[in-house]
Amino acid sequence: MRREHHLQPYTYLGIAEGFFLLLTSQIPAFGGTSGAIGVALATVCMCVLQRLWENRTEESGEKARGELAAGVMIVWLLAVFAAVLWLLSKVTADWVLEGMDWRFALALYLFFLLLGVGRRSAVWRRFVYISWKWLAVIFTGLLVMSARQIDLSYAGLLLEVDIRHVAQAMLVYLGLNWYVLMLGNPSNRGRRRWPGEKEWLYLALGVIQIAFCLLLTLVYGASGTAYRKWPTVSLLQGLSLPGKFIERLDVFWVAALIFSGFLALGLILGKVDELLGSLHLPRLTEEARRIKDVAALIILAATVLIYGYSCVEAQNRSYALAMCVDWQDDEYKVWFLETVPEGGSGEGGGKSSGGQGESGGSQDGSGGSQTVSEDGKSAEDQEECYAGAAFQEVLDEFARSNEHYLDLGHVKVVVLDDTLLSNRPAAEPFFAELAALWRMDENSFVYQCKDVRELAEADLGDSSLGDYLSGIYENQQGQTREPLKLRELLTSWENKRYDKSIPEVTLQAGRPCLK
Amino acid sequence: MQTPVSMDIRENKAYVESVCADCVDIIRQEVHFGEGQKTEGLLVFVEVTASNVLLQESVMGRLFARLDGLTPEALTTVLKENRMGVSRSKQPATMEEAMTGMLTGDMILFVDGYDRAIQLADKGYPGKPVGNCEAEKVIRGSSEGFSDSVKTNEALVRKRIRSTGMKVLELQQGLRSNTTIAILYMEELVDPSFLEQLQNGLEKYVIDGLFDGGTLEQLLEKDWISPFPQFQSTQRPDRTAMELLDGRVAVLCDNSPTALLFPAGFSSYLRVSEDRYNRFELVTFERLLRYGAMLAALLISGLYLSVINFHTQILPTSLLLSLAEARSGVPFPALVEVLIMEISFEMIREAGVRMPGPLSGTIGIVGGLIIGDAAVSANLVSPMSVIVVAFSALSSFAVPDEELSAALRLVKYPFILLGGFLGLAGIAGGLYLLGLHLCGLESFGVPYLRISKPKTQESNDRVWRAPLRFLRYRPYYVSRDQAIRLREKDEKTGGSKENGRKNRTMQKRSQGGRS
Repeated sequence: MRREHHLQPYTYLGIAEGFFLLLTSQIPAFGGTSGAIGVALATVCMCVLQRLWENRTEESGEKARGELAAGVMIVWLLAVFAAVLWLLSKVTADWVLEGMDWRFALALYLFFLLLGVGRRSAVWRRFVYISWKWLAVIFTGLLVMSARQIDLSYAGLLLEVDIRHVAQAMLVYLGLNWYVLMLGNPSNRGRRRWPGEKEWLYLALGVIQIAFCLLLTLVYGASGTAYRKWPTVSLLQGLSLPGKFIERLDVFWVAALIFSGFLALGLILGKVDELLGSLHLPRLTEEARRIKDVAALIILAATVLIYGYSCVEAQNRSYALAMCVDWQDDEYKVWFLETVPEGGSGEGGGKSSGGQGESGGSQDGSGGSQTVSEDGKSAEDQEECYAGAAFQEVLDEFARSNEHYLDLGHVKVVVLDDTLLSNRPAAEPFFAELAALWRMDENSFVYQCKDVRELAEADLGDSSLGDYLSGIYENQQGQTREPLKLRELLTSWENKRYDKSIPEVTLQAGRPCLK
Repeated sequence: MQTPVSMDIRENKAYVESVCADCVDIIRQEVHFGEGQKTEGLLVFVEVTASNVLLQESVMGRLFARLDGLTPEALTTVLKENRMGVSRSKQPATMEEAMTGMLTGDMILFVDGYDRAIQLADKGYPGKPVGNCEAEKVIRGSSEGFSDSVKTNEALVRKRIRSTGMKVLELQQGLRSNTTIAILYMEELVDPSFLEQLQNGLEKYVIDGLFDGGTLEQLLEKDWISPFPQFQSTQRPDRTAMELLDGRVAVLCDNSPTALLFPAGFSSYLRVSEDRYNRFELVTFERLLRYGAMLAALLISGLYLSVINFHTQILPTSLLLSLAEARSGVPFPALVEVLIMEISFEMIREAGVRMPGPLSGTIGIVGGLIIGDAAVSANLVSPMSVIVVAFSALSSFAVPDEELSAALRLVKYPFILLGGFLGLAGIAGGLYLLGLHLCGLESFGVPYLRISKPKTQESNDRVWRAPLRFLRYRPYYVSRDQAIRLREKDEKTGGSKENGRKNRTMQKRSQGGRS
């Protein structure tokens, strides 16, 4: 009989977590208690399969049962592989690459992973041993930095947390969780110190995950996370570094997440390969692997080239620095006080690249433009008002009537009209849309105003409204009032707390003034 | 079928004449010596390899003087018992051996009535004398570099390791070039499997000519598709000696000033010989710079494209607007622009390397002016691209190993395409594939990327270099009984502290046993 290694239970847990992660985060019915039962079932199921496989003997009945169990495990792992790949493609399409179809991301990732198929398990283990420390540092750093966003007033809601959000928290540690899959099957068997390095690793991962779940609740509240499609990734959006060198860090974190996702998927394939080897099924020869690599590389290159150069380059974007929102006649009226790079409107109009956000026509959307400065640089300011029944309609309206792609990643100030704030049925969907819009900088300051139109059309000379209103806080030495960030406002509304005090701005002698 | 050296000088002469027909550079000189100048001889040598034989200072001249007046019987005895008064001589038994000896730069003397040839070394082929090592300059440490002669190079290493534990094997490679290859290693430290693998590799191919270690390197590499070198090359004898003491093997090739060292690891390419001579703080700082430079050389262009095309939210608005304004009016997409710049830089570099010394400076100026100034003025490229490409080039120069630097320059292009087409998701995918590739690479069975193991060099001599007194261990592939490189002296016993401690424990145990 084969000896079962004492680390084997961690393998089951690793696989069970994958199951938990996928089902509970995507299928509401699997949340809460049923999610926990799901995990337990997954663990038991894997334990039985693994035991059948490891306890097989040469006796025909047991051998057949063991091989069947290995076969089921392979199918199981491939199903988890498909689901994790799907999850990763969705995150990429939703968060990393504007306008990319998630199916295209999935195809791309599949080719990336195909390049890794057929490696020896020793290679995967080495990869894991080398990279896990770096990823652990990155993700722990994320945890520490995210802690700056904690709002202790949500501490009372900790017990109300939905188990689905725990699964969301696990998304970040996807790769790390799957390391256990490989570490749980050491090739060198024999007596080992217990608890050893691997046990401590698993314990550390557990602690980090629990800390992350707590953090998620303390930042977004119990129901706040439900508003966000990817709450864990949203959490990254709120990160900021002191100083003005890097404005947003979330993309780097998501890139690290994609890397760890690749690693997780590769590890699953490695495990499947090992199982296939144990079943004496044909595996890739060195020559076949080489042919497969070349073919995958060619297909990958061709796919990328066919998809084309889909981005909108920096000079073909208009950067909204401030956004003023009003609610009139059952419509949102939005003013984007934006800056277009100098020379971009004249020359860049005809050469804007394809892809999402590209303007459909060549209408001049710069009516009423005036020169403002962004840190001393002259640029154009546009004060067109765009209307729509939903915020997405407003964005579509902008896209239809402008030669530039609207970049909301640099919005410094959001000014909300009192009419909107006093009308909760109108404000709530608007805020939900803002929360889902990953491009929007959630660290932007929020103000309320009695007459947004007047403020949006005010002539501020050499300054822009975005610079002006964000500068009001930055320039105060003995600051008496705390600025309100968009994330804080969205979270409080998501948790049905409407008592957040929003700083009011008025126009005095033609200049905005904090009340 | 080998032809033995004949007792009859006429047969030997006929053989030499037949194989050396139309070789005017090979001198066949009939000589007479012995009693009454009656004994006939034939002297064969390549024209420039011998001093004038009539001079009394030359080896052959002195030999003739010694043989003069001897009877044929006495002459045979002198030759047989090697009483020629010459420090280095061989007596090949076959004509083929004799001819090979002659072609390596020695003189061959056939004596009538003696069935062996006399091979004597004289001045040998002309070659570059030992000079400064230009390719691997250091501030501290020897400036001596290898020359073109394999014998001189062996001596330069032997000068540094004055121990018979350093073994030198010589063999001939190249069907027609008959190049001498020297294999150097420390008998106690080397893993015998390395020598076995080298032997197998050398036996695998028959090549007509071998003029540099680079040819040998490519034939011996297991993963020949990889752009990453699996041998380390150096032109420094002190570095070679240092690496031999780490259990590595050096291969010297005649007519080449470069030694090949194996097994190689990724971190070994980022070390320089000075690292052992300088203080640990400085070395660690410099290594951090080198690792940073390596990453920059690989990723900076791809990251620039990712940010400018996809993730503009990362940069502060003012910086982004500067970048966007600089790109306005440039007719090419950013990806094409960067590719043009990178290829232009490679052209300038290639031209600079191949041009004669005085002109290479001109190439730099012309290239710098055309690319850096004229292209920007003509709005063909943006100033930021010039800065990014220049920084990338500068970083590649900061990588101390030229072969690794070249590999990084090649691998950079896929990262440019991935960053340009897929943003940070593409870069993450690229890093995954690169990591997987590097984890699968092996140099003579030793992984390219090594895992830190306690009590090995890998644990404290990679990015972080521990203080020299703590650098006690050799790399992990050195046998464990030879793992310690540095130990403290025990004042009482005069031996190492660890040995002293071991002895005392043994004494105590034996005393306890007796009582």
